[in-house]
Amino acid sequence: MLRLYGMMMAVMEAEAGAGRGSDLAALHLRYYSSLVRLASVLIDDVGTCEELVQDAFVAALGRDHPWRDEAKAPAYLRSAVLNGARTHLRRRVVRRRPQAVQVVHGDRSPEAEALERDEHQVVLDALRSLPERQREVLALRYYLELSEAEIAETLGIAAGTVKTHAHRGLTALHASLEYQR
Amino acid sequence: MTDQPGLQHLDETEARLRSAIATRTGQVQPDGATGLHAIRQRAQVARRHRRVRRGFAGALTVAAAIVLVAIAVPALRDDGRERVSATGRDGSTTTTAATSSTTVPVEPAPPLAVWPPLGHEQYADPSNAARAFVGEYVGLPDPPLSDFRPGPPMSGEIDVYQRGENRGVLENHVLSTIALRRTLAGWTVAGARTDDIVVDNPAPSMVVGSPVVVDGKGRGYEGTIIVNVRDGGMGAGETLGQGIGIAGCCDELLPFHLEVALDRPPSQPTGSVLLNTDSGLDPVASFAVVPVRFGPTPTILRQLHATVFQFPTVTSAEYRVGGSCDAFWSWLQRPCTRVDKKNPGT
Repeated sequence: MLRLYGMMMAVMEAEAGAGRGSDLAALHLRYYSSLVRLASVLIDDVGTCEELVQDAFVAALGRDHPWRDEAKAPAYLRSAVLNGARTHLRRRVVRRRPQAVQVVHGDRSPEAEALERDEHQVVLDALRSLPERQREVLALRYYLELSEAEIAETLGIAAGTVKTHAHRGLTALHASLEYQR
Repeated sequence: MTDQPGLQHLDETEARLRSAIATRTGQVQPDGATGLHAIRQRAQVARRHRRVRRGFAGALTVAAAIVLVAIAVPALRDDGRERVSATGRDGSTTTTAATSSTTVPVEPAPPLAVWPPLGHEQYADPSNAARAFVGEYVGLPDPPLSDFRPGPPMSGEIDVYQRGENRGVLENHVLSTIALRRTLAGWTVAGARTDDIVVDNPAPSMVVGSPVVVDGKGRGYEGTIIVNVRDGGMGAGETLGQGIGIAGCCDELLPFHLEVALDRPPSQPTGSVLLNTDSGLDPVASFAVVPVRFGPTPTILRQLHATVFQFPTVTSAEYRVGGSCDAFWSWLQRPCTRVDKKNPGT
């Protein structure tokens, strides 16, 4: 599979030059993996993450501007992936709400389950329980290492608001982790 | 005492978050090849849906215009009417009226040449013409070629072989076959075919407009069929419009359909459609080339399709003028054809 992927990368590099197909191949090569990983910070299921990223590329193919101005493509794709993740999580919350009640009344307590999870999973779960904007700002900042201006462009908010969300998110994350200790 | 955590605690939380994210993202290994294939497939489907929606809106507009014309024209004139018949799914025949002008005999157009372009060097030897065509038009430098096989008078074929390891030639593996024709000026390339791509549409010498509708069956690496529309002066790396079709990935030939929008108008009245597969390493493997003519999309034909296919039971139609299908199509320099509702063409 790795060899196959390597061959594909070679083809995409060879394609780079002209036409929309080539644009797609070049952008895919550059951003696909990092976008899937970004989504995986927010969503547990990797298959869903890949679908969200593919949706973002397909949506972008239907528009002209992100592909013609390569400088805008990364922010557009990041934004589309985060929008997709937000929608997915909202739907999941609606679908799973009744099940969540059943878990609370199950044989094992939430504390017992939390003890079994490893440190990283606890931190990720705490991150995913934050309000939407806070967790997105933290994911963009601590995975992609984006600047406040870049995060603001991706989320369509002011740079000052990014700073506020980052601070509040980190504070809430700290409180959540302290509570679980 | 305050509820706000100190900066040191936030630093610790920040470090834990960084570590958790790094571990998580390090575990995720996306399948890039499958991802690109999926994106191309889904984009193709999305484009098709968008076109269907646009086409439906356009058909409604055209139908409304035809209704107006149908009301207005009979009031002005009632002569020169011919019948157009359309066969329904149950074999019943629906007829609709089309106003025809006097039939003007159309001289059969001379066969088109894909290569060499006007003003280019002419070739006294068919092998040189084929070699230049594959190198300068298709973009395969130094192709291994078979000897020239004479066919009908003034024509013949040359095979393009696949290269093996260490630049060896695999003579039992023909990538494509080039059709050549001799003219007064020299040898010209009339087109090319390959076992990997069967082109149903456009037919050779067909009049095409934007978008160019391309149909056929094919197989290629990751199922990819790359289509480039070129005008007569264009060579390798140049295109009026490019599209990617998804066909079979393995031995079986599977159908593909795409519509290639032209980014700019052609500078010459004739051109070609190049369809090729890639090998996974080389951008071009096997290829097929169909010569075409460029023309304005015949609006009257689209209007006729819209009128005939507005009836749900009509699935295909054969247009005739004076009882002759050939007479109807001769004005478009096309052979008699039965028009399919799913793909009426332009």
